[in-house]
Amino acid sequence: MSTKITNDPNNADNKGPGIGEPFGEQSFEVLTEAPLPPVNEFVRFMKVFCRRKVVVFGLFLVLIVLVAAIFPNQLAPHDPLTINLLRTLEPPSADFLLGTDDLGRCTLSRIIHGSGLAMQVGVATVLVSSVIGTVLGLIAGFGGKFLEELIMRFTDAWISIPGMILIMLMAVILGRGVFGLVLAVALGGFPGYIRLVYGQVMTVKQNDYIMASISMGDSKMRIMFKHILPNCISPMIVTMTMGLGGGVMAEAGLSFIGLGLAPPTPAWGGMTDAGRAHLATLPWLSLAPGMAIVILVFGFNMVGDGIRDALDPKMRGTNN
Amino acid sequence: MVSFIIKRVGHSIYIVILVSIVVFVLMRMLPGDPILDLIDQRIEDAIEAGIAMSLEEQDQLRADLMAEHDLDQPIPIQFGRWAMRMLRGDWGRSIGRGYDISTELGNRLAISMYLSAIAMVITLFFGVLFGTICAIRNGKFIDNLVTSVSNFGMTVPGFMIAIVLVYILGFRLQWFPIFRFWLPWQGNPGGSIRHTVLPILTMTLGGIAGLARMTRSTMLDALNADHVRTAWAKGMREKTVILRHVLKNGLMPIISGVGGMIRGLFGGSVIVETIFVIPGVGNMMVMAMLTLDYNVIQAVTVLFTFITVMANLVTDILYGWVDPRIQFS
Repeated sequence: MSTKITNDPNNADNKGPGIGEPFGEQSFEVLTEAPLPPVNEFVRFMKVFCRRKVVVFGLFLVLIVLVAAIFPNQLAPHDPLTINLLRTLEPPSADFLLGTDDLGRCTLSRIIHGSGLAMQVGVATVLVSSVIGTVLGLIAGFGGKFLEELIMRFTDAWISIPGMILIMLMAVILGRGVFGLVLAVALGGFPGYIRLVYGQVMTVKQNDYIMASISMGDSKMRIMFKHILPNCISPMIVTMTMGLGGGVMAEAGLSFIGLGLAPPTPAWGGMTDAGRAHLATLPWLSLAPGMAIVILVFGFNMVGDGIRDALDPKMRGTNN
Repeated sequence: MVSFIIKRVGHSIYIVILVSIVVFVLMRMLPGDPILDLIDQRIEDAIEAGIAMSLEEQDQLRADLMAEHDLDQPIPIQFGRWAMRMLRGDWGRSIGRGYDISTELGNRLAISMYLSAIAMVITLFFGVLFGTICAIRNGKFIDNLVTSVSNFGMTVPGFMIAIVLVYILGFRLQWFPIFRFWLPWQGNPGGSIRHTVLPILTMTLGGIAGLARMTRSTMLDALNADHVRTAWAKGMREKTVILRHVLKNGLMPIISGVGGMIRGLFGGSVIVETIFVIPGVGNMMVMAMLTLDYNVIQAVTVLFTFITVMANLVTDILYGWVDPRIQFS
């Protein structure tokens, strides 16, 4: 028996006997029909993901920023911190592709060096807030009535403070380093994850197989990791990718009002704010770093859209 | 229904109290000293007046100032005193500038509320309009255009929209002034309205994009409902079908989004008011943040939370009133 049996009709090995052909060894092989090859989940995912051009374009934009974030020193034409008071506020030239700022620093180099911070903050905030949110959501769902009330009422209160105010407060409290910044933005966003995980726990708990699991004497831990968490992963990934752009925007907003990283570290939001003074004469000083923020957020959002489409069976076949 | 409202009001009061405790405690954890600037300023004033303060006098001044703002007390007592004063309607004084917070807040809140209300009405009108057009012309050119523009519009941060608007409409075309603001009844109403245009555009464009997307999807659901197909089959005119059978069902979910919109508008006012130098509450907040003015930060946060909670309460009740399928429990 051949081991290479597929359902592909174009495969010569798999063709049945033609009319009038004698039934030989080959016909026997056709009758032993192999089960359908298992659907490769990854291939299916990629197929749905790549179906929309704008999603692929978004991924492309994210990859560009990622490359800039990993190799800033190789890509940037100048040092982002070198002050050259003889060449301040120059328009774009062959030497300085996006001109120089009021301290003679190369705008393009500063944008390239700022990509690392934007990427870090975007990714790290999502990771931190999803981990905190998941742990607290699970505790609320499994830890008994008291902890449930405590955590969920706290979440209600936290969600009622306007987002930007909350993030500003946290940023001032946690200090002006990358760590404080990430934590501030993450603390602004984690209640969403608590509600998501808690909601999943409450829904999944209703299922009969949880009842069966409990009656077989499974521990809470086992139920949590075996049944609840796998159910959370899909909505979690969608919320996380959607949150990436939000994290980048929140950080940019903070550094725009002067509560971000302390200068001279290049940050896109801060550069946009600093360039505002010369908006009438040298608009690119402000618009170029602002565009960098838009590009990264747009890329993240499109990738998030693509992942949502690929993961959610209900979204398949829609075009928005 | 009545018991539901009572329960929700209780819940709202409790949230405002919890937030004020959390913010109060968090603020006392801030690194830095809110009194420091004030003392330096007093010492400089004294030097200018020709008096040199001795170190004892400086310490005494510091102790006086701490006592004036209750900062020498343990945190629970500070909070208790603050809460008692709040309940009597006394919001305290700014630590750095010394102004009375409730008077200042009243003036500034009028401006922030005025702008937010206009932004709200414009966002709701155009968001729903564009979303509905997209849903009716699903898959056509106009749908693709609006959907693409709003997909893009949602990714642009508010301050970037503001800067592009200032550059194009303010500097290049010189149509609108780019900073300062006053209310129309404070004199020169025409000028006031011209100063309103750019901030309002900044506050609405992102919201319109988001709302159009949301309306489009809820309207599509409503358009595919069975009773709508029946209405078409009966031969009703498009106008009647859309206005009488689709719009009401399609718009109901929007009501629940309004609470979030108000929260977003007040959060965003921080940035909009900084860019356009508008003397509103958001601007006051940024100033207070940069000088660690505990009393002002506390007052503004509690006020914004109160507004958000009230907005959520009203939208929840409204939603249940509009949609009879919702059972209050």
